[in-house]
Amino acid sequence: MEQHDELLQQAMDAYGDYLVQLIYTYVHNWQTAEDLTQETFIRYYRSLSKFRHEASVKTYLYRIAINVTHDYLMSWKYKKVIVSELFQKWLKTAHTPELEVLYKDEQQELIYAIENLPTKYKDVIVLFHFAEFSLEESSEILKIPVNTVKTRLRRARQMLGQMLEEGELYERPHSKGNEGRL
Amino acid sequence: MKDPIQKAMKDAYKEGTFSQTKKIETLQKVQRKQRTVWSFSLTVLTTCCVMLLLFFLVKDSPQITQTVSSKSRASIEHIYMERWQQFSAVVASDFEKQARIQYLSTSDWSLQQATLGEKDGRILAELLQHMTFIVGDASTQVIFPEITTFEQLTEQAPTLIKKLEKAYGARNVSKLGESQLPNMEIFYMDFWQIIGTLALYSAIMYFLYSNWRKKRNYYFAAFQVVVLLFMLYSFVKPPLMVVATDEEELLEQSLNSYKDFMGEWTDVSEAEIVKIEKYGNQLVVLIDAGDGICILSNFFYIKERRGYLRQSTIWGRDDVLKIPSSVAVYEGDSAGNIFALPANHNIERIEIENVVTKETVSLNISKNKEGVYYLAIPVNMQGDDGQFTIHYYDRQGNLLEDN
Repeated sequence: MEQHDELLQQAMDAYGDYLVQLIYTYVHNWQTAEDLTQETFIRYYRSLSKFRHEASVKTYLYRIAINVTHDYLMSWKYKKVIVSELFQKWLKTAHTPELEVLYKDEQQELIYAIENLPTKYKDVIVLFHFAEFSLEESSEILKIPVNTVKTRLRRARQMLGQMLEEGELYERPHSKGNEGRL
Repeated sequence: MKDPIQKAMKDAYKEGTFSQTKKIETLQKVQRKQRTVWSFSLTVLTTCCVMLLLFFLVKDSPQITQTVSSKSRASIEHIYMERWQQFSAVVASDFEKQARIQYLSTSDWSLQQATLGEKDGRILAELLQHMTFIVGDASTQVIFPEITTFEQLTEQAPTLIKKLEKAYGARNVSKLGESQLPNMEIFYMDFWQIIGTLALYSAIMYFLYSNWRKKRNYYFAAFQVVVLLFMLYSFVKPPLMVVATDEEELLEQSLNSYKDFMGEWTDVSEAEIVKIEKYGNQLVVLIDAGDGICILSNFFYIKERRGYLRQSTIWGRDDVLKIPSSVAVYEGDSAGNIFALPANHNIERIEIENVVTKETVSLNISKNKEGVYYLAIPVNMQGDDGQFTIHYYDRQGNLLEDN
């Protein structure tokens, strides 16, 4: 058990921050991202006795993190948050001068576009670009064929390009958590 | 960093960290979870052990049953009378505390299980319960008759029970042989049937749950809930097979069958059972429905349901009602026939004849009272084609009817 505790500590030190950031791209709330990262590490710890090191710890952890995040996005809890936030946003004005200034920053626009991608396209973008996994590793984590990863990646980039060109972001303000990045 | 997406994401999310506090909390959580898994497993294991223990406790102890059944009727009668004398002593002592304690220190269980013949056994077992109840709570005075023999006890038991029920109320006294279990399917399944059904349902539940986890489709979840409810219902639904466990139910089921055919308007308020006979696991009930109509029903004992299941019901104003039964009750019989004769019948002899070999078997009926009779065809009379005729003769030996 002590050995497992040690491995968990190492994993948290090495990948904790990356996982929080990865999960944030999906949930847009730092507190939730940290909680889900914790859940990822708990699942990792519980499966340590079964883990045969066929994949690297990083790949293994990212696979768990993606699954934990997908589970959360499908949960009633998340849907309830979304509904209540949409309702709050509906009561407020979506376009504020501050937001428009911020959106003018190209880099921010790109982030905003990534966060608004459908989940299956966001998966490949964050794994390939942010976590620096290869196509093969991404395919292994997502359990989909390499060609599908390629196709989704191409399609995701096209969507990002379109969204940036058309300025669609101003029409589709995404749902953010209480302590949003902006 | 050439990749603009990577650069944008790393810059934007650089503030996101997995805090030290969260790391410590995670370590504490995993250790706590480890303990939870252990305690959960222990709980499941203990529950299973308790269930098994309960199962074995609830089942009849074969040793005790054997002790009771090995006693002769004379011995049981003697024990019953001893018990009655103990009770009389308590009554004579004016329900003195010590005498009551001594009486209550002996269990009536084995006596209640003793079968003295279907009806007597039940009545006496019921009386025993009343006696225990009275000794336990002697707040009302009842005058008890002088009883010195077992025959007197059997004879007076129904009157005594009625008197005691009036004085004390019958709510606390259950009758032996009555259905005491809730009317739910699960209580009528045997142990392995329950285990098998649960295992099957668990497998279905697991399959549905794992599918739902993969697809997260809420229509599928709704379907799963419906399946779950259906499975629960299958356990608690009233059993389809309705069995009779006492005389009232035997009467009710027979009359229901009669009324189903004749119409609901049929008046059976005066109907009463005039005869109950038992042949093997078969119970035959003769009912006088009034207006000269007799109803004859036969029931078979269903061990798993702890009651009698109605097989057939016939009725009429004839001199004889006959249920042909292909079930041989006793060894050496190839088939049996059940006859019911109403009061004031004119039949003295029933004869069954093999049409081919002309061999006969007959039954003499001495009384002119209502009665139920069983006449079997022996195996050696069965023959190859097995065609039989039944003849009925009156007191003067005249052939009344061929059947």
